[in-house]
Amino acid sequence: MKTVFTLLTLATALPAAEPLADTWGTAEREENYYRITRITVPEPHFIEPGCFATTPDGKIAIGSRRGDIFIVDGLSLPIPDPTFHKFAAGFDELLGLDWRDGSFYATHAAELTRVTDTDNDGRADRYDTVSDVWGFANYHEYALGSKFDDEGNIWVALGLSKSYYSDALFRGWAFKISADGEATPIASGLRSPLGVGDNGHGVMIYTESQGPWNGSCSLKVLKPSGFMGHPISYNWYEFAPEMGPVPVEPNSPSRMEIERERVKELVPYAVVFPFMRMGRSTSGFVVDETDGKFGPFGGQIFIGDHTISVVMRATMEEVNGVWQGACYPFREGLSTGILNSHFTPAGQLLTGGTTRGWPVRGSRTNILERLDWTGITPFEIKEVTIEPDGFLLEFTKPVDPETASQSENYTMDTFTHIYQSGYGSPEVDQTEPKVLSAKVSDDGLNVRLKVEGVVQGHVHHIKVTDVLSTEKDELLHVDAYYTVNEIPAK
Amino acid sequence: MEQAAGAAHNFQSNTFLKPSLSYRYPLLTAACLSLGSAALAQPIIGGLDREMDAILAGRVLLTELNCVACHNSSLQAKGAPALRETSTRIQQSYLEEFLTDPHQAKPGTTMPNLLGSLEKEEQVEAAKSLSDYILSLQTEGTPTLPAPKPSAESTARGKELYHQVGCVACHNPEGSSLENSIPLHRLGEKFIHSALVAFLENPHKARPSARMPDFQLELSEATDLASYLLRDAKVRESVQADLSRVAAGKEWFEKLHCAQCHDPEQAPLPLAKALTELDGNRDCSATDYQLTETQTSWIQAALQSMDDEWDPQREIDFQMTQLNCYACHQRDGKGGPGDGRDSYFTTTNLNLGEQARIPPSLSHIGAKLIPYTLKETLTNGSKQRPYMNTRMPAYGSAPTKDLLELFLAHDKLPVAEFTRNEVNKDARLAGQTLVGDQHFSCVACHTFNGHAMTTLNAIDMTVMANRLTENWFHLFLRNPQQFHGTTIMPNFWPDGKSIRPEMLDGDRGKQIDAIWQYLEPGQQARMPSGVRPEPIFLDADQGEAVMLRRQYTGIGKRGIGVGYPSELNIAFDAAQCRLGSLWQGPFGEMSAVWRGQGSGFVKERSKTVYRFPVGPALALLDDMEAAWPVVEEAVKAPGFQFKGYTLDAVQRPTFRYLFDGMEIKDFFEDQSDGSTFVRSLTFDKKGSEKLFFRVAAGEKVTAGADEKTYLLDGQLQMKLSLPGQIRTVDSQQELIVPLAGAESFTITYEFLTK
Repeated sequence: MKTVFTLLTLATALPAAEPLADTWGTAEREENYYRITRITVPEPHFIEPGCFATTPDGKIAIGSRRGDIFIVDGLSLPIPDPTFHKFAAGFDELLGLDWRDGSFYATHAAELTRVTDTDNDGRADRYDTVSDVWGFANYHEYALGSKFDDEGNIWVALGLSKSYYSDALFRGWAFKISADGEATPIASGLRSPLGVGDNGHGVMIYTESQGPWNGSCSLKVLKPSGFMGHPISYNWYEFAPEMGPVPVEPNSPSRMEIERERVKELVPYAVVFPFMRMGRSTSGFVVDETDGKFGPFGGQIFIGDHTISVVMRATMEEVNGVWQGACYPFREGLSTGILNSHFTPAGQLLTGGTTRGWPVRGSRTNILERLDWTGITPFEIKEVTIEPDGFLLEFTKPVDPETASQSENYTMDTFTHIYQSGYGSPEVDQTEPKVLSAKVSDDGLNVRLKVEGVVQGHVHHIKVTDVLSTEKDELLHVDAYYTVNEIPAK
Repeated sequence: MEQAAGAAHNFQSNTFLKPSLSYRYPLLTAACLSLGSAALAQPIIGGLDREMDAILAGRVLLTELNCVACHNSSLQAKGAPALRETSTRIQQSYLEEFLTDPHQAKPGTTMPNLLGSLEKEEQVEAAKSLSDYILSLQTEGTPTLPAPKPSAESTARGKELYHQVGCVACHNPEGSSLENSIPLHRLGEKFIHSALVAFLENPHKARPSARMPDFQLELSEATDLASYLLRDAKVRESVQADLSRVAAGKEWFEKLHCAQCHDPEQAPLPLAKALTELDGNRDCSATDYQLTETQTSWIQAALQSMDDEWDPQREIDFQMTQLNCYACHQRDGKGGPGDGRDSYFTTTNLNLGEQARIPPSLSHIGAKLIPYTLKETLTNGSKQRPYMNTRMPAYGSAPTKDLLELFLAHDKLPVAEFTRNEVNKDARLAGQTLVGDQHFSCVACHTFNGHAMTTLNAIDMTVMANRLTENWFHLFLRNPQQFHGTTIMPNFWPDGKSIRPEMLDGDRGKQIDAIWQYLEPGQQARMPSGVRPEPIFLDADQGEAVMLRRQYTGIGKRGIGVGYPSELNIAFDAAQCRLGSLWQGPFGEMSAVWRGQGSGFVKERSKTVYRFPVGPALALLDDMEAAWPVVEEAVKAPGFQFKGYTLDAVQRPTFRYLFDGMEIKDFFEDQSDGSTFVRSLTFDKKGSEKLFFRVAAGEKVTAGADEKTYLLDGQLQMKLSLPGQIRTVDSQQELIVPLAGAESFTITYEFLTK
């Protein structure tokens, strides 16, 4: 009887008014592996988390868009029993927070500020300007701050004026700033950063947003003296002689792959997040250093998306001196527009954000969400790396050799974006490489794909269908997107 | 067992099962053949509490009782709870008792009694073994925690939730005994508190069939609800299970074919003969299910018509009965809250009428909501109606997949014919005008991006174009009463003629289309006339100052506003290291910096704000005639470096900045009279010969009684600790003070009028 209805065609065409795309449709299954615990912030507090830090005594500090730093205890308990304590207030859009030598270092739109409780009464009483090397005079001039790097610097990524221009000093630049305020310019050409930090390999990266000169959202490497792609901020080179001469202007419309040759300072996207499929405004990220407490993805990047309220994964590798890598779906169904994430000492991923100003799928405010690994390992594409003649896929569980060795179970398509001064880009120059063979490693954890037609400069969408684990699990997510800047030599 | 008296007319016969089946599955058969113990309550299916179409009701029983888990059929068995993490949920003692005799332990259960044919002692032994095995099943879930004693407050909150959010659509309200309420029986013996909290937070994990939907409770809500549900339970710790009979239990588990319902992926069909081969009059075992005569007759009716093809609407009816959508919703005149439950459907806004408390009709729902929204609503629940206390829970995608497809494929409405406007700014602007308070005033009832013009909060306008089909929007606006007889929504086009004929030729279609185009960008649509967001006030609190670094008028982005406990306020300019403004009264309204993208200005809450000149307040001048350096607003003053501030015991800042090789500390002390600030500047070395301070500028500065007293606008008195003078340079009038040799300087600002 049921077949009568499954044969009927469905009205699947969505009306135009659907700005948030479809979901991945995997939330229910994801829940088996990564459980979401929602934590409502009690009134009268109102927190829009933009950044997090862990204090030496294991509490979580949260910096809020409204400008407060809260210290929260009890978040990690199986049933959280949090107490919220306002430690400091008054900042402008807090988007970076770390702790060092008895003080917080708070990056907000106006400054990098050292925040100290000198009389130990539990509230900050001393606010020192560490650096205000940048101009701050216009709408949309956010400042994103990293944690301290190994050399004791906080990296600050500066958004453009009104998101299009560079009207105030160093808008669209990145700096590294020491704890005593020494500021070194690192790169120009940023557009609208929403996260900055270490990529897990000791290299600083930032999250860039789709828009002018950015076909889609991406992670980019903050290479010293590098140019991140948006030339509107060339006007400040005379204030930063250590950055060298002003780079050549990129042509528009063009391709990143072509302009890389012309503009030698241009650093290509390391990981592209295909628009809508993998977020629409990728935001803050964090590297899993939980020693396995958060599951099988140690060392990988976990990155949020503000628009579609998801957390994704990303991995990076260096090939021929250029960083590149892949992104993967991880967990959807969060309740707010994710701005940032943080690992608690117990190895749970705390996320938070905001709903205002830009469209979001998760419309709840004043909420934190904690992702706990349930202890059950999902069957996932753990990491994609490039090989001279194809790709190596590592899985989280041993694969069933029969299904995993069939090359038709792997499909690939590639595309790139127009590199242009206009806003964003459609996906263009599509190709379909051929998977010639799939070879399973002895331990079953790796599959080597021999591929004909890998295209430099393109995003490679790898879709794995019908590959089972030895325990006959289906993949939780079947897609990975690898950005090829370089192909290793044989 | 009073409640069961007369309820269980067991349908008994030992001829129903054919010998072959008995032979293949001796124990199952034996169980089916066993006589029930004393008459107990029949299985309760929430959706079957009305005058029923017998065939439909029978099919529902076939799925809900999991008959079709063993008897092959095209019907989809409901399935039974997942057992994998039972040990994290259910107490061992209860489980043993339940397995020994489900109907005794939980009257109304849909679980058949599979041990009924055994001797009593063997029953107990088998149940204990099964229980051990089930509790031993691999679990990687959160371990159960010691049970806290629920507080009276938590229990009270839970009681309110229970009777408000929709629990009583299926379960009994406290103190009532309504027909076909899903029993909540002896929960205190079954669950400890933390286990019930975990279940309530995510019921689908244990019960993937979603017959108990997921209300997406906050943790605190689940905690309160569990407190209420366990209000009479003894507080006790989770007991470490003693699992000595696992192997025997596994044998029982296999012998009884428990996996058919509890782990269907491991249970190959068919176990028993196909449903279509069963004889409705003969092949029905009722004993182990405790079926009533009526229930049995329903099953018989269904079995006799298994070959009937159903039209899609009847299939929708069937699936809505399975999920018991009818407990809350009507569709085509059927369903909706029944007597005894209706009064628990409540609203926070009675002014919006019945629609505000009764969940919406599902008639034509597949033609009303766009597929994405319908899918989201069924899968993940919905919170579009802030005024409705009853919540639409989540049913998950798998249990609603077929229903979604049926709704979308078969719900049809007439196609609205209309003339489309050109898609452009003009159309959107017309739409924005039409919904505003000067025209149709949709904003009088509907919120816009959460903001309300009045206390009414009908469904938000910015979500409409992302929820509704365009066609439904046109049909509904043309005649709302056609969809809801009692709606308070007016018809703006009576007899097809617009009440605002001057817009878009008065054309109904064009006007509705303009509104649609205007609403399409969702939250990004521009705010219509009449809507004002609630203000967000920030004020000194409990004797302490508040501070906010934001954009302030006359300063720009690097303002630092401070609201002092004595209702005096300043805005300091960190880019130019100067006082930007002073005002009296409450501090500020933050909507423009804490809403939307937050790109506006803090609004000072005073009509009178004294603003001080843009540009640095300190300068090195060669002489009294030298021009004051000009620096534009929001540009850093050359030679200055802002260094931060410290806060005193009541959070008042002392600003620190550098200029001309000295560090300046700048402290504003509000006086308790509520009208006086004493501002002290101290320098870490003596001011140089050329150092001057500009206190104020402009024509409104006038001299007072002596060379240390001046007035701004005649109403703000400024008393200086050092003599100043008003000078005019380049037609600019300024009050300046030489600071040569000074180590400190004080200005006392006094508001002469409140």
